[in-house]
Amino acid sequence: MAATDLERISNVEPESRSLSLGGHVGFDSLPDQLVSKSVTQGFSFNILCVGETGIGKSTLMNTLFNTTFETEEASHHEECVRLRPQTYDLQESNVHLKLTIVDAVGFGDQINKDDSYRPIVDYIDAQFENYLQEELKIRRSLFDYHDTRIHVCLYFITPTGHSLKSLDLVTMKKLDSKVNIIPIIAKADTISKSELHKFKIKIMGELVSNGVQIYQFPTDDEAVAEINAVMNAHLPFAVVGSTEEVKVGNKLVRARQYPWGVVQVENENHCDFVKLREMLIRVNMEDLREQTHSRHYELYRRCKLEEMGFQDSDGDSQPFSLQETYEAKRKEFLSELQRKEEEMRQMFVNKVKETELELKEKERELHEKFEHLKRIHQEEKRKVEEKRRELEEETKAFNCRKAAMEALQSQAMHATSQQPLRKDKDKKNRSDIGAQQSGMSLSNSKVMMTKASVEPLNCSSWWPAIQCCSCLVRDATWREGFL
Amino acid sequence: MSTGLRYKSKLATPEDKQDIDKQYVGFATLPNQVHRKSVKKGFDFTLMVAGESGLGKSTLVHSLFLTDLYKDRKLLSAEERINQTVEILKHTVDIEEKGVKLKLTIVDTPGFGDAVNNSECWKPITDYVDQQFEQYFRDESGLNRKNIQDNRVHCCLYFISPFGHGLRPVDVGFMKALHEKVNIVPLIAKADCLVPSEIRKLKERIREEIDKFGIHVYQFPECDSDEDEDFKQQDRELKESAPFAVIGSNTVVEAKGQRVRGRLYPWGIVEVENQAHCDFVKLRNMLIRTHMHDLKDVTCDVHYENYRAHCIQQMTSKLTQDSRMESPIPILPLPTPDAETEKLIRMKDEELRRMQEMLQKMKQQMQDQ
Repeated sequence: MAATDLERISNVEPESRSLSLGGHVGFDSLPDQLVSKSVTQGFSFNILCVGETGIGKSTLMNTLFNTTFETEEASHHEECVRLRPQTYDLQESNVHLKLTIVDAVGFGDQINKDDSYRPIVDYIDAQFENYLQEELKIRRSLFDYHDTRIHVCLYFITPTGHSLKSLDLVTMKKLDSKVNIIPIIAKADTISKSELHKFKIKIMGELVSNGVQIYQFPTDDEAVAEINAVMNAHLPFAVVGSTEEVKVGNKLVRARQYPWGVVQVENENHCDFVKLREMLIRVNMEDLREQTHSRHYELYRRCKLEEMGFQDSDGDSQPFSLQETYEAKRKEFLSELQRKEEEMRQMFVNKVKETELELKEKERELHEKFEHLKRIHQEEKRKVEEKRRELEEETKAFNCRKAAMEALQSQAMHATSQQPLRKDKDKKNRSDIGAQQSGMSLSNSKVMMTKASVEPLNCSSWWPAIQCCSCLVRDATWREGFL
Repeated sequence: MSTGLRYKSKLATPEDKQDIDKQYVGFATLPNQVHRKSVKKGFDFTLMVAGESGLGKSTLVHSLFLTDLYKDRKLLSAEERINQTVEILKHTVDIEEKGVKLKLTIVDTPGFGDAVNNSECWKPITDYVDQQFEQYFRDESGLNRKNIQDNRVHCCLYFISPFGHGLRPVDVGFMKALHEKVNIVPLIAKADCLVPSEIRKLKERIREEIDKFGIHVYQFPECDSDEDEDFKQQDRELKESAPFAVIGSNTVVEAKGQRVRGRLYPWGIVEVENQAHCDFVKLRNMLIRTHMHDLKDVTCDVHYENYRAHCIQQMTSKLTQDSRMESPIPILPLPTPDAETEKLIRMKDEELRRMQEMLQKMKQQMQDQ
């Protein structure tokens, strides 16, 4: 049943009949309702100003909105381009405007300008991203949302008189798919009329030949088609900005006073400021916002969502539910996360094991070394002991031999000095025998000698050695014996 | 201009010649002799112009010397300039005025500051200046010195963009690279986009920044104390208006019934030679009428001598490195290697001590056991 109903409706649509009303119904107040609603809501408009430092961006903003936005002069020595957004609340009649002016500070100052466009593109994308996030929320408040997407980019061209700079070309190419670009020739009071004409043609030629899409004022709405078409031919606008007032004739007008004349900002012959104001604020502001939303934002959204893996439904298959796809993605993501966590844990455990093994190895090695050293020490000790024993034996042997030699000598002495010494000799014989027997019941001198500590004697034989006190006299007991 | 007559002395009239013969030695005519010789010889001057494209360099050169040097030049479009390299172009013209011949060479630097990445974009220019110095040095040291061609750059006019708040990083980089090699005269280009108060502010700003970054631009020489007041006044005004804010034009327009060189705007006519409009007249006087020779002198005496001394020093230090012979320049003593080995020795001592301590401890342990 549902299928046939659908068919009928789809057949009816292309031939919708137009009916005429019999009386005044009143839905012609719909636009008014819309208008009053939007007036109470307030409007927001975001302008991005891109141009070299000192080219007159702040002055032009002041001139356009006839007020003074508080900004300080920028320095030429910034490290890189950064964007400085400032929001102001303006009111005219009963219309509230939340105006955000974003300034690209430091643009064109660096020596290496390869990356100058990147902060700008990132900022624009960030604003789109914020809006997208808000849109995708479950509880969202889009009517209340402060829209920070850039609605128009005023690109300030330096009035060299020859052509665009290379930086201008590169930057505009990167920006043309993300934002509405309106190129402006700044400080136009430095170019004379003929030069200006040539300059404009050159610029537009270069933009077209490089495929840069600047914002074209819409010509489909009848009310403004004509004026927009005319203005399109005057692009890029050559503007002069000034907040100072000069007396011209009997009026005070905004102008710049030179020694050779006065350049009036609002004089159409002098510059295109009035045209810019008309186009930007009075005629096409709403169109700029719409273009930003319907063209640039939608392009961004499509790219972003495709990146995330979503796809539009085609006629036959079931329409994907955003929710389902989102859930699936989320699960995938979480499982991925868990897997990574496991991996890391494993790695950590492995590493711990490895270090443990290493440390154990080292400990073992250290023990081994210790054992080894201990063994060596033992060896040495043993050797030392052995040597000591050998030495002791040697000394004993030596002492025995010495005693024997002494006995012989004393015998010889007794033989020479017969009687008075016979007693001695007997004594000595007895003592010799005693010595041979025990080695301990010798004459006092010999006993003392064996008991004396074994020292290396520097005397050739033992007899002069005994005489030589410096070599042997050590013990007090020995000395007594000798005396 | 009174300056032209400065160097002409009063020639003796024939009436009092007899008296003069008695007291007059005659070397007061030396300036005349110099004048005659120099007129016969002719002068030469090399001027370099540097700055970003579109600042009016060629127009200014045209206005200064009233000759069109750039008849058929091709201006590159933006995409061709993305990766532009700096070239050096020389144009030489012979101009003559009242019997005085001047061989003027203009060195142009197209492509400077045009690319997106301008790192070291002043390198070709410094190389060129050094090359000229080197060639002159070689010629001077040669055997036949009769006809030396002096191609050294005597003055560099650097164009500062009026659209900014002062000096940009590329300006600072260029001037710092060249201030010790060439006389730099900074100019504010396209000054017809600035009202007088803005010009004053910008000049002050630029002077401050030149001091801050330590850039040595060409300084006008002090005038002697015995000059007349007019000259001193002029000199003071000259010094106070540096850097000059100039406007150039190669078209002639009609203003107040006269045909003058200027630019025609819907709101008025800018006259290039009007002192109230811009400093073009001051620049022209300074460059051509009063200080041209001083620029040449400073180039010869200061910049060239610096280069020469630097060159010679490099050559002698290279010699001593190669041949190790006695040289007037003292060679620095090498650091003694003992320090290193001492350190190693010390380390090894420490190790040995530690090992001994360990052994002692082990002995103790064993003894305790």
